[in-house]
Formats: sequence, structure tokens, C-alpha cells
Amino acid sequence: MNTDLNFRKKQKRIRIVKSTLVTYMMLLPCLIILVFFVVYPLLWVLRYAFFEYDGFRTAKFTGMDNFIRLFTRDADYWKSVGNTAIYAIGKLIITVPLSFMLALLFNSRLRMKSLFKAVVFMPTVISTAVMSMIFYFMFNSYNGIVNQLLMKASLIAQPIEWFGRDTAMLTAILVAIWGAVGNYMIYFLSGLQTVPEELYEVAKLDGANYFQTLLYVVLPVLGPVLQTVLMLAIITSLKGFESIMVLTGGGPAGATDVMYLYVYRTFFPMQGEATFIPQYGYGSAVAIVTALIAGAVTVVYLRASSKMDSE
Amino acid sequence: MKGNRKKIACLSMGIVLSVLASAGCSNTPKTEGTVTAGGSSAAKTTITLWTGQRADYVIREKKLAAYNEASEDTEVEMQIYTEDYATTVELSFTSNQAPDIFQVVNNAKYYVDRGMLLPLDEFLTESEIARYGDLFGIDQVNMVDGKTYTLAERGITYRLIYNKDILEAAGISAPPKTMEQVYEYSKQITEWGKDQGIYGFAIHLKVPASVGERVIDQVGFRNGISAYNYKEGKYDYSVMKEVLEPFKKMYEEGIMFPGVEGLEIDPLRTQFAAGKIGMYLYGSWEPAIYAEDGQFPAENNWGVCTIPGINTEAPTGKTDIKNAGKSWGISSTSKNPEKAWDYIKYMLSDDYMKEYHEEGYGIVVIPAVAEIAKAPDMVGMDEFAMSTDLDRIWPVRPDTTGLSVEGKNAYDTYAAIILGAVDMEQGLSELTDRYNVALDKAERDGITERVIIADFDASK
Repeated sequence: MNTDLNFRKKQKRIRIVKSTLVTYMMLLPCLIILVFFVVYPLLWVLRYAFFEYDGFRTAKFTGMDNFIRLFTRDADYWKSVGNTAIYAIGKLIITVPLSFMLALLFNSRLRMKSLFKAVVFMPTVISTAVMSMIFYFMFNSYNGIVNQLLMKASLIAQPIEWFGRDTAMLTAILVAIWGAVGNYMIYFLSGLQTVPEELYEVAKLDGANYFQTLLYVVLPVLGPVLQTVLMLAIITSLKGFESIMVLTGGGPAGATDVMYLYVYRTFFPMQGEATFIPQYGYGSAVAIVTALIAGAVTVVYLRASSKMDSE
Repeated sequence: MKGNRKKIACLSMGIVLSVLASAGCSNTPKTEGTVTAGGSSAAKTTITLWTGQRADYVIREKKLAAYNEASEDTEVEMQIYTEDYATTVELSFTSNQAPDIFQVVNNAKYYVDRGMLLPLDEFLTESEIARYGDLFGIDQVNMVDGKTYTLAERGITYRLIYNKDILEAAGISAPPKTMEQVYEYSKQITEWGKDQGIYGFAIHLKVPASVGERVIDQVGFRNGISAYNYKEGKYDYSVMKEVLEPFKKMYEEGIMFPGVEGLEIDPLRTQFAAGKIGMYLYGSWEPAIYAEDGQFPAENNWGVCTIPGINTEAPTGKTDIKNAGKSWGISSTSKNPEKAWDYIKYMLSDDYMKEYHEEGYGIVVIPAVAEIAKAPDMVGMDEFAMSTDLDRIWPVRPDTTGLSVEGKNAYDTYAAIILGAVDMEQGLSELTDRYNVALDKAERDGITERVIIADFDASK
């Protein structure tokens, strides 16, 4: 009897071990990729943030020097943090409402809406570099199509310097909005399609007009979607720098320099005859602080939104 | 049974995926290429060559095809990286994927310090060395600690390029001789031509590094001004004030072409070719660009003159001949340095260089070639031709051999000063402090040597 019980226990244990082994074997490829492409680079950055290192010479341990430099002697970085805030807020306050309005439009009975949806969504699948290069030519101060159209429509008398010190950030925000609006529109549209038809009917019976229905019926149902869209929009706005790199390179005179572009340039500086040395150690320290700033903003938003949820 | 098969299948798939993933992550060992050329059965060794130069692509490719056709054992593959070339080369060494030959864009010292170059001495014969005359063995530029790492090939000279038709129509009889005249003429042209979309002066400020070294520094050099004081071995950026002032003034007064803040060199060239820009400063690439079969054939009469003086019509300084003294290098990681040298030797040969020069792709500086090559039949080439009165190779500065400076570099600061984003005095004073601090530290750490030339004379 005992032998039989032991045998069964043993069999069960073997089955559990086999099943666990299968699970781990299935996870192995992802784990390897995770370790190589996420964990290792992270550890690398964490280590070199405390070193002076240019990629070739032996790294020299400098303790907290890189962080002290960042917090006490690098005004350009903190300017780029300010620029990032302007870029993110400017992008958010237009992109989110605009995406929502477009989703409402495409959720109504509109002719050829599939075509319009495809057109609005198209920027999401176009390469950021290509898109930015096209915008670079379109916003060209001298003979760009944007100025020409505005002048032909008599809206402006003189060409606008779209990449000037006072306007370059606005141009970067406009390009960012164009690239993001289709993506968020799709999230909102899928959310709108989950609002039960009965809710609209009940609101109608209660005498609610279109805007009251939108405010008191649709928006509360869309809460979780809005929360996700806002979180994604905040993160991508804080991280975005590719289109700025192509459009202005962070210029003129640092007017569009954003945090992640700054981090990029410490690792891969522009080079000419005068060599600008990569500063991997300092760049790592800047990358850590930048990630903490982006993370802190996201956490603050998530806490605030979950508090609103519970209220 | 069925469950077992499923598990076996799952396990196998897991193992295969793991292997594939690890294979994908692994560094593929660099092996000798065995490209078979022209259907021949003989295996050829592949030599990879990287360049950051796009302007001479046509002749480079033509000559390369001829070499590959004639060679029985070597196939050379050329790759052009026009964006971030210098960074791409450096990264290729850290990832063990460096080419056999690469175009040397910084001074040899920079690469030697990083262990990227092989010395060429074992390949050089007496007659080979003689071909290069004074351009052989320039300390730190192509020679480090008595070893030669690269050789002279071509050089870039810098001049002022102007539209003759525009100057004439605006009532200007001759190109400017001073920077004050550049300002005055530009103002005159803009006032005359603004309604037709014609402006006096342009500069491509979207790329401050290019403007800094090819425009601002060159105006300074021509006037004997350098932010690095060779006599004392210190930086003093305050001397750049008089160089930057005319540019700042032209920008502030709206004389410059609209949108110079976001302008790159190619859009600038297209507008010059279309007759919308009166003047700009740049290098000896321009004649080939505006030639009939060039990138942007010019639709107007244009000319070239020397870089104007500051407060004088006869400046005694000389512009810096860029790239002179350096050309190609063999990677320290090359498994076939002899074959790589054979190709470098071919590229620097009299025949190759003569054709390169005569077709206007660049000004060849190898003395042996300069003696036999005819001047290219192209507008502007005579004025861009190297002259002992106008051009020289400036000695290396610490910031061209690996100086790590905190904060904004000099060229970004120049751009910010021109655009009015940084106060001139404050910006230049901060540059002086930061570059000197960096130099002191680099010297202390044994990274860079302080260059001191007690009898330095910018006019020699």
C-alpha cells in the first residue's frame, strides 16, 4: 500500500517537474532576449554612470562626479528638460482632444469613413524619419508649401520662419501631433464601439442633448481607455526625439533640444574635424536621471488617475 | 502518448528558439570573404572599405570596378556612410565589425590612441615616401611616435562663392575683399532683391559643426586668428569676437537668407544654383556640385574669391587645408593588411589621383601628382586651387585629438551667439574657461598633449 502511495507521489513529482521544465523551456528564448537586450544594457548603464568612459580608453571610476556635474554644471540638460515639458504638454493638449473628436466623427454615420480613417491612421505606419524629412521641406521658410499656401490664402504677408528660435518648437509639436493623432483615434474609436446602444437610448429618453450624453454617458464609460491613451501619450511625448532630430537637430541654439535627444548626443556626438568625444559615463548618468524623471511623471499621473477612479 | 509528443514538440521548439536567439545575439566571427567575381571559379578575398564621402562616388565606384575586374585574388567592397560616419566607424570597432580600410577623418593620433589603425611603415618604400614630399610625416596628423598611419591624398580649400549676376544687378562691381564689405554688399543685395526672393548671404546653421569648422574657423584662419593660442598652449575664445560679429550682425538685421537657422548645405546650394543667394563661404567641393553634370547645375554666372579680411583688404593668415595629410587607413583588426595596402596604394597612385583631380572631384595634394595633373575644366576650380599664399596645413589643436569638454562645444556656441541666444562676451568667456579646464585635465590624465609652438606664425 505504502509502496503504491510512494510510487504515485513520485510519479506526480515527475509530472510537476516535467511540466515546470516545459514552462521554463518555453520561456527560455524570451528570457535570453530579455537578459541580452534589457537586463544587460541596464546593468551596463548603471555601472558606467559612475565612471569616466569614452568607449576606448579604460574606464575610470569617478564616484558621483557625473551626477554632480549634471546637477550643478549642466544648464543645457535642464533646459532640455524644460523643452521636453513644453513639447509634451503642447502635444498632449491638442492630440488627445483631437483624436477623441475624430473618433466621434468616425463612430457616426459618415460616408467613406473607412477611407478617412485610413488616411488619419496612415502617419502611424510611416517611418518617423521619412515623415520628418517631408515636413522639413514643407515647413521650409523660403519655399516650403506651408508658407506658400498661407500667403496665397492671404493669411500671412511674410513667410513664417518655421524653424526659427521662437517657432521651431511649435513646428516640432505640429509634426508630432500629425504623427500621433491617428493612433490615439483608433484607441478611442474601439472604446466608443463598446458603449452599449441602450445607454444612448436611455440618455435620449431622459432628454439629454448630444453634449450631455457625451459628457455624462460616453466619457465615464471611456474612462479606462482615456486613462491608457493619456499614459501612452505622456510616455511617448517624454521619450520622443526622432522627428526633432531630423527636423531641427535640437536647434536652433538648443530651442528644441529635448531630454532624450540630449542623452543620444552624449553617446553619439556630432563629429567634425574637431572631435567631440562620446561620453558614455556621463551619458549613462544623464540617461538614468532622465528615465527617473519620465518614470516619476508617469507614476504621478497613474496615482492621480487611480485616485480619480476611486472617487 | 499524445501528451508526450506534444511535450517533446514543445521542448524541441523551445530548444530551437533558444539556439536561434543565442545565435542572433552572438557576434558572428569576421571571416575572410570569398566572393567569386565574374563567374570565375577562383575564390577571392573580400576587402571592405568605408568612406564618408558621397561627392566622389562616381569615380570611386568606376575605379573600384576596374580594380576588381583586374585583380585575381581580391574583391574590394565599398560602403558609403554619409550620416554620422565618424561614429559609425568607431562603433564598428567596439562591435568587432570594422572594415579593412576606412577613410581617416580625424587626425591619426585620435585613432592611434584608440588602437584603430595599423602602421603603414612596413609597406612604404623610399620612392613611395618621396612622392609625398613635405606632406609625409606630419606629427599627429599622419604620423604618431615616428610611425606612419595614413598618407596625404587630397585637400579641401575654402573660399567665398558669389553670384556674379546678382552682384552686378545690385550695383556691386567686384566681390568683397573685407568682411565689412560682405556685410555691406549683403545688405545692398537683400534690399535690392528681397521682393524677388533674392538675399545677400546664407549660412547653413542647422549643422553648427560644419559652419564652425568650414566657415567661422576659416575666416579666422585667413586672418591669422585661432581660438587656440599655439604660442602659449592655451585656449582664448575672446579672439573669435571679431570673426563672429559680421555674421551676427547680418542675422540680426534680417540680411541673411530666410530660415538659415534650419538650413542645411544642400538646400542652401539649391537656392544658390537657382540664383536666390548672393554669397556664401564654403569648400572646394562646390565647383563639381554646380557643374553641368553636377548635383545642382547652376543657372547663373558665379565666381569664387578669397576669404575676405577683417578690417583689411590684404589678410596675411592662411586658411586650413582640410584633410590634407590624411586619407585612408588600415584597421588594426584587418585580417588582410597586405591586400588592404595594395588597394590603398592603387587609390593613391598617379593614374588614379590624376584622373580624380582632372575630373574635378577634389584637389589632389600629393606633390608628385600635382606636378603632372592638369587643372580641371570647371568654373571656380582655378580660384579654389591650392596656393601657398592662401592655404596651409594648420598644426593640430588638442580638441582635434580627443579633448573631452563639458557643456556646449565651441561650434554650438558660435551658432547660439550668431542667433542671439547666447551673449557674445559671456559665451566666448565660458568657452575659454571650459576648454582650458578640459585641456588641463586631459594633460594631467595623459590623454592629450598640450601643443606649444613658441615661434608660431599664422602667415607661414
